[in-house]
Amino acid sequence: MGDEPHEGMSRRTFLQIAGAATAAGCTPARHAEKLVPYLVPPEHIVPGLPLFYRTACRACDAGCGVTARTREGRVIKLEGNPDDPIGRGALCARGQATLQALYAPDRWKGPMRRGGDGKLAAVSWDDAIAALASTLDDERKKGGRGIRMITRGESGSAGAVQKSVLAAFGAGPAQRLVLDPLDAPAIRAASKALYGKDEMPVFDLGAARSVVAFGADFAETWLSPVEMSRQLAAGRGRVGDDRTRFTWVAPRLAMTASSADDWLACRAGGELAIALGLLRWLTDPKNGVGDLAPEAHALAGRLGAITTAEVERRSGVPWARVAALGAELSRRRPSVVLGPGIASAGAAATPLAAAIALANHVLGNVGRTVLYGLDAQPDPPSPLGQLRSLVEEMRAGQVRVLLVGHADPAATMPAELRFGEALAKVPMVVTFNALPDGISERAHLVLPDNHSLESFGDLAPRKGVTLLEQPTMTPLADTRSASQVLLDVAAKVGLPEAKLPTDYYEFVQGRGADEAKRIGAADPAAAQRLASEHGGYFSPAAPTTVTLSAGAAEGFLALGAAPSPTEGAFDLVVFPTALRGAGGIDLPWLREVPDGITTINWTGWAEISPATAKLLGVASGDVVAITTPAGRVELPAYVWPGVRDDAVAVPLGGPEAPTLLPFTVDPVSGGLAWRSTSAKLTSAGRRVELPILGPNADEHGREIVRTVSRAHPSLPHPPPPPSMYPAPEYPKHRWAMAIDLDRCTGCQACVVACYAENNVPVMGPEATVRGRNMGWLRIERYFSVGKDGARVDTMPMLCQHCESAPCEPVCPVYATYHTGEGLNAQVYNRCVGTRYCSNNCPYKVRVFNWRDPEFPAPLNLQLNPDVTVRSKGVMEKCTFCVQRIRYAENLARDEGRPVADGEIVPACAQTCPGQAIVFGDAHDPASRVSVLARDGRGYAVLDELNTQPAITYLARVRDDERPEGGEKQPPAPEAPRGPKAGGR
Amino acid sequence: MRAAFVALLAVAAGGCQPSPPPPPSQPVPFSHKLHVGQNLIGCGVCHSYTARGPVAGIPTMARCNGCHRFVSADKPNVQKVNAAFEAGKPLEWNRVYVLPDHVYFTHERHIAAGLRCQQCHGPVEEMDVMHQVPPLSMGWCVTCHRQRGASTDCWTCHK
Repeated sequence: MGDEPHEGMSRRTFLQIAGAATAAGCTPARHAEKLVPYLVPPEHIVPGLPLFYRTACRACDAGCGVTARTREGRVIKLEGNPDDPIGRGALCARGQATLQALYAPDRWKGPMRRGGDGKLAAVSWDDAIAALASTLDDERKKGGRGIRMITRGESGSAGAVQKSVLAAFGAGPAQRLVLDPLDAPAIRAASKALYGKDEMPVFDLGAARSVVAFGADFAETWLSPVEMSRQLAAGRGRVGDDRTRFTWVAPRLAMTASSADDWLACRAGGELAIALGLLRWLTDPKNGVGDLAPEAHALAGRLGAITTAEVERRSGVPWARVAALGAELSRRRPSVVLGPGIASAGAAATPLAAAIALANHVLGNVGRTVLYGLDAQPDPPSPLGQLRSLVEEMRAGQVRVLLVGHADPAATMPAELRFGEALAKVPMVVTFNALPDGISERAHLVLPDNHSLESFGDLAPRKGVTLLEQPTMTPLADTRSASQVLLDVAAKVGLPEAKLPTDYYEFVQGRGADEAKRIGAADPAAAQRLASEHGGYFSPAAPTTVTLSAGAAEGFLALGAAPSPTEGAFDLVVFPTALRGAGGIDLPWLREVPDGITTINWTGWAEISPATAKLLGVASGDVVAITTPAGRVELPAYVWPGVRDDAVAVPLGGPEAPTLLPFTVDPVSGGLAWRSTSAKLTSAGRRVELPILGPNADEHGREIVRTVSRAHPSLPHPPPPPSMYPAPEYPKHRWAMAIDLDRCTGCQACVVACYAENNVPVMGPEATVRGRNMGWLRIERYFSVGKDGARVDTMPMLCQHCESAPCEPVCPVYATYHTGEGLNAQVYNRCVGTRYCSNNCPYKVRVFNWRDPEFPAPLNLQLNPDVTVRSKGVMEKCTFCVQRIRYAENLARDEGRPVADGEIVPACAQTCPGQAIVFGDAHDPASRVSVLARDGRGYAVLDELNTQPAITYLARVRDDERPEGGEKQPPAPEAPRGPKAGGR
Repeated sequence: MRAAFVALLAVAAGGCQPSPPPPPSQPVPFSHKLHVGQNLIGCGVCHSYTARGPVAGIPTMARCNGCHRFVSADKPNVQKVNAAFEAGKPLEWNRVYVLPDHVYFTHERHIAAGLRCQQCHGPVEEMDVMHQVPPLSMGWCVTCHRQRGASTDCWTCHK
């Protein structure tokens, strides 16, 4: 019909002429685009190709090595450094996001000084250094007692410089306070008391067959999240009885606990009772636990006072559960007991840490999964009790110069401390912080430090690991390395007797040379060069043996006074999350990516149980008022079954938790008692529109996250249904992915990595309220309530690259189609924005640009040049990182070889600490992805739709086989997996 | 009727020419005819990344200066170039070949496929003023891809 000759003009001819005319009419006016040549060609840079640098991540103190990908002299992506033994190539969500601190639009552009008018004004570095030098010199002449410094932990050269410069001005080590809000000082205090070693043990979850965590959110913020997530996943990769069993003990299910097999929902503050009860069960000769450490017998006598009734009363957990946990630990060796985490660290955090350490000790875990002697400890965090005395001294006018380096107690510590107020009493406040904050509001001198990606430095997170920092780009603004500034200040005053270095770079290099000699390198210069290529010095370090002080152990075997119950009050549980950390800095990606449990972004929330919600007459999104002796806040409620009925849980990372928390300190360790108060809870009588990605956490029986039992880890695999269509052909490759749900912890690292790699725009809370979050990859989470309480199942959900993709046939303009390599492609310049594809996608993984994205300068410098920045009116979605596929294919073609398995790694798979995501060629039967796709646990989500996704999910393993312990009791009937939505 | 409609469309087109845009002005009247045509300097001498990466690259100021501190150093335009190098302020050339942001193009693959520079860039050795020769339209790209049996998958070039 279309070929019939028409009188006049055929439709086809019309379109041809109209098209030509339109094209001619629209020949775009030439953009005045400039080509600016290099003056001298920089070594190594080939425009258009990436250049990689190894350096270190400073998002927390875990000390992961990173590989920074740069293009034309600017960093565009951070990835883990595979040579680094801590991170081993993975990076967490906060690590990924440190890029945005580098490109933060409101970063200080240069030094500032507060003038007579009370306003900060730009000043030259010479003047700023002279001002600081003269003030510090005045103090030095008075003996240096008026100088104080608050800093983050600096385990490398920066710390050494700070200490020696302060000493040169007469300030002793006690005048320098190391602040790490998420530190776990109780563990160090317990190590000191029990073993005489003031150090943090290193945990090896990979070797453990059972993991018990007392509120220790090790997949999010606790100690070394990337490393421990990887170790847990290693245990999850084992089949059968050797698969790691994970028990979570806390009043609230954290994101980390979504990986747990068992939840002991103990009352806030009741963790100590459970830990001691566990010890009692283990050491009780009646239970006949063999192979215990010799000290167990002596402990048993002392533990008789811990009655089962008292344990039940204080923890709210039936004794049988505690006994079962003991039985499990006695059977499954080695195991590891972790904690306390922030959510469980109260005023008795040290006794709890000691009870946990003793449990590890009697079970013989020390030296196997709990390793002492590896803490490098050059700059451990100070006890927070010191912060209180510092504030008192500030108030009393005894502090005349306060230096602040990468710390903000005003934002991360309880407001009750009134740090900001005390700051006003200090005549000279100097901040090295990079961004405007509570310190710079009252600072007299702002001396912005370079970002760690712009500076030299080193870190010693652990014995045998020295990470090297090197600049990956020239500083964006007129900022300077704080260590160099301190050295310049000292040089300006002229303190020859202090023998300070003058150049920080040379100092770092000198220390590197020392390290190369120390590890016995034959050619230290070559070793140093190699170290900067690999990202640091990595030498094996062996743990040391420890001896338990029996006397000290006995001192920890008491429960202490019972807390007096407060009528009608709820236990306040505060917790850090993988995205929000301890708070202090706001980075758009970390605000935009939804929380793992609640899927809320941009705002804080208060978690309550359905029973509490009923009591208060509120639902998710209704605002509740929380009142503690320290303060009152109003937060939208989030109702879900993962929090006890007698508790209310508030995340850190906003102003709310510091307002509610009293500044109570664990008297033994000096750590902040995060769990120390109860709260009154009332409905505020109003409602907000929650920016929430997934208000409904119910699977509605669709079995989206499938589970298998540990004993039979296999799913039925019905034969594929017949097809009316010819099977598509893939001449070369068929790209595919496998995602092991048993390894996924829901930590959101993949989501942030995807934002960074693919120029995914940040749209703000209003967009989320309207369902317009732009993430290409999201973590779905489903709640269910079993016989022992709530469970969370997580699943990364992204474009499934279906073979029979429902999105493809409905596109009227062929903007989405199937490539010859099995990818579901989206061509932005063809897309006219009908959104039919999104409507037809059963997985809801396509997102539409309702408005043009904004990347305020200099955040635009982070954009990946290999990925188009999409504009308003087009649909976009996961591409399996096609730019990375193209890069690897190009490289392989240049070298005249096929692409190797594992050579192409999408950003999500690259950063996954648990290595849950594997990408490869499904055509190659030997590729990792093919092997995993054939696994008995493999399934396709919504396979009844016969979309034939390229992603195979591996079902979660359910380990419900809890051993009986002590008192025998009949097995509880299996409760039906009933729907229990947490959201609205 | 038909003729009237075509005329109408042509009017609607506003008299624009479907030809490549006119050459932009440049800070220094650089002549490819002189450098390539007369002095027989190969393309890769100055556009040194052509065979190695996506971007051909333009000569660094040091490359210009490397010859021109000896050659024609007395000519005013050459002095401008040398002065820019000495001052550390590179010249800002106006771009002649511009591809839209949603296109991924790599010189390397095209050179590896055996294409000569002139096949896309025209007789550069005859140009006193560098100007765009092909329309750089998708149809122009695809025609050649089809003729040579190269991939015409959208994602080969669109990113």
